[in-house]
Amino acid sequence: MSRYIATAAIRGANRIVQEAEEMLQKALQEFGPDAPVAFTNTAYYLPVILGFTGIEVARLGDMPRVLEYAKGLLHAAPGEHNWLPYLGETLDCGVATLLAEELIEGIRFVRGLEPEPITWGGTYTQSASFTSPEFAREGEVQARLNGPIDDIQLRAWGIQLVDGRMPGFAAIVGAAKSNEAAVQIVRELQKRNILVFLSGNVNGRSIIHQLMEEGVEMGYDTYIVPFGTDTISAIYALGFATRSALTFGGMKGGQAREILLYNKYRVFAFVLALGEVDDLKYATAAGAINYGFPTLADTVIPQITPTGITRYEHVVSMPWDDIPGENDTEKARRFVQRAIEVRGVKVKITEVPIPVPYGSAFEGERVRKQDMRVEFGGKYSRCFEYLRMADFDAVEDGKVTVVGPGFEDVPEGEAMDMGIVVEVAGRKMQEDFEPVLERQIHYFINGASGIQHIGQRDIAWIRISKAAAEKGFNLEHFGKILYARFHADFGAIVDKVQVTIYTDPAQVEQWLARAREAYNQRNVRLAGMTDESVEEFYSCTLCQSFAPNHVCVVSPERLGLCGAYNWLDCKASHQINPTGPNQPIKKGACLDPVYGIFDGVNQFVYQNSHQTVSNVTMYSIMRDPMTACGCFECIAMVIPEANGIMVVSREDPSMTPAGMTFSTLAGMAGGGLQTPGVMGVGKYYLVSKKFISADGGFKRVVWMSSFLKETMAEELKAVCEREGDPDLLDKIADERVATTVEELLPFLEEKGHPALTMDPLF
Amino acid sequence: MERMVLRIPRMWADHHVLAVRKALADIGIREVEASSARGLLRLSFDPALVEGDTILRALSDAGYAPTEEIQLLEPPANKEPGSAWFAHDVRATQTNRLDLEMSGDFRKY
Repeated sequence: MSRYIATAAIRGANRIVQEAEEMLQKALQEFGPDAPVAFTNTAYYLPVILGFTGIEVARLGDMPRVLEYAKGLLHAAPGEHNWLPYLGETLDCGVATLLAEELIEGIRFVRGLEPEPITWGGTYTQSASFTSPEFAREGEVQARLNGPIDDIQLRAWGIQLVDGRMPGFAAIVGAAKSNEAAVQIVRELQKRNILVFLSGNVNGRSIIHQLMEEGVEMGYDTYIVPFGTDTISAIYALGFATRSALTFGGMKGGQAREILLYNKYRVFAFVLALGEVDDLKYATAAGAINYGFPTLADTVIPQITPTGITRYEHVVSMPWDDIPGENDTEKARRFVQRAIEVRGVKVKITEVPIPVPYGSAFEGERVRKQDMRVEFGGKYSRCFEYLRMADFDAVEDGKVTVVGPGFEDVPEGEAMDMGIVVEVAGRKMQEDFEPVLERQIHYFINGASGIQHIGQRDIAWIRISKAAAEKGFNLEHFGKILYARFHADFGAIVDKVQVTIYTDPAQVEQWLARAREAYNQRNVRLAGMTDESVEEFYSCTLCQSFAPNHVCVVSPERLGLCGAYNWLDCKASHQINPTGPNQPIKKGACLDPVYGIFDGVNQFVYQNSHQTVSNVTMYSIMRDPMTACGCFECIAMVIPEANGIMVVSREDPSMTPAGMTFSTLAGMAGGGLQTPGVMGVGKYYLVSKKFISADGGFKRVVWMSSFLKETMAEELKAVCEREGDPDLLDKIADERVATTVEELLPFLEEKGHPALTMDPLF
Repeated sequence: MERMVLRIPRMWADHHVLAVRKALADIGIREVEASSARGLLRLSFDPALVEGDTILRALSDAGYAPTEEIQLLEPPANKEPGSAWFAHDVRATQTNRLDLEMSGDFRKY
């Protein structure tokens, strides 16, 4: 342990706790103890405080207790002579710092100072994908930064965090040596799909300003989240880490030790301190070390290299000018690479031979009309994509052909027709996998910086930005991307890949007709696939890295609760990785066809949930419902007074008739717990014939988030017709008409909802 | 242009740098180098437009009087048995089950 670092961290902790105390005293005098304190859309109060102390801070009056706790963790700095061990003291002071920082942010929220307004120039526009666009007040000229990440986004990222697509997060504090270095560091992280959290400043200048000046798009979609321009806002990164443990690990507030261990082993995060490091940065880094998160600095600071609290080194100094490399791009690559080694993050990147940067972090990037070189599909042209299995001899591996003209002659900002036909061959390839692989085209193409892909099949819509076109991106590169990614990600089932891009009008017409015929055949085949028609279901234990006792059982008529894996996906995934998280489950003897109880399923779940869940039903919410990790798209919950259930989607932050919001309910539904009456589900499970069929099926739904009603209108209408009540959807309440049981019941009676006359649920 | 170098101990973290820069920007001074690691402030100003005293007053009004040291109200004592530090956690005499489960293979090495 470095005495210099310990001294600075302890000094910083003492000062920030004192500042928090002064701010709290003032706030209490000004607003009174009952003033409400809350971060945006979270059920975890001030999450770091909740995690460490179990104290639920909901008003200013709850804060003094936390402050006393923080003070109890403060220590004096190591003396000049006769040193006693000071590692524990430094770590304690780190925790005290985090508690104080979170208190300060809580007080700033009360004062309306958070999320932080920003007036700096550059090309920054507030992204709609931020937590809180509504925070921008009327008449306010400047935009606001993100502030804390809300629960909705945390859950939406859940599946990517657990399946390794998103290996971890980097909390960047300060400012890089130059704008170019800032952009390169962030690009290197994005390439590896590592979430980037930004905060802090050096001489008033933050990496946020640097990225704004360089026109880097920030927001959830691009994995770059600007928290604030001071180090205090770095607390949101640790709040994110704490909530990961609370959300996916099934831990409760106050289980500090478990939460920290969880983070050490399951959340791959690190801190990059750019520019000079002051006492508060040292103190905050000491707090992060408690979580097992190391710090890398690009300046000369003392190092802490022995292993201990973190997995490898604790603090590493890598002075920017000493990093070997001809330019900032190379230095950034080495710097990020070292950070990944120090944290022990496992990152798999696929080299894609195209002239623009490539990685999942570019998936959410949008290409606006004014930045667009050319588009395919959308309003003004047609675009389709079609993947089919072909004979080994018919496929020439790596061949990419463009049939028809390129977009060089198309005027800027205009559209043209295009069809992408991918032919694959492989010994383990099956026709059933065609749609699974075809769906990947969206993700693969979107990974290129400056390319936007929306939709699938014959409603695909692709845009190429001017910047990408200027760098030399052309139609052939679509083929190169698909070739590289199919081999890298699906090499176990795909041996040969050939891509043909059609722009010739006659050929587009001809192949579109063929593709549509194939889509229809697939639809028919999928519709005919039922739980009874297969011998085995599939497990999904992907999320056990986060929720150790949860087992998803995926059947043809019940997809995974995250919505990301259906039965065919699991089957394909099992082929790709036979020892992976998707294992076939022999159904075994059917013990109850109505509830969907299978001997084989029970045995599998018992073994794989570490003997915590012994019985599970496939089609009931009331009896032994399936457990959930935390990544669910919706929560279904019984409303006893209405003799029905409500379904709230994770996009819906409003109050529900259960008296709780999605975030609060999620605490009951997640973490591998089996709670009768509450269940996390995928939204497409709602349209399945087997949706809680043992309890009465879709007719039980008395309340549903309007988001679901609107985004799934067509599908839900078909379900209502299937259920014999075409007007059923109109009889289901949503948050616009009822947020309490008292409002719900008269609505249901007025509409004559069938649940009121169905058999009692209890 | 004149230059001024000031030691500002209260500018010990980067949120103070923002506050100091704002206080100076309000009186028209923008050529500022503020280091929170060293508590040092360097600035250039045009004496015809703003006087040195005005700068010092602006800093003092914002709570950053040069050379004013930070006084901790309650300097922490070294912890004694019986203090909150020792009462913080029950002393464990057996390896926690969660530790074993979570550490997995790491225990073997």
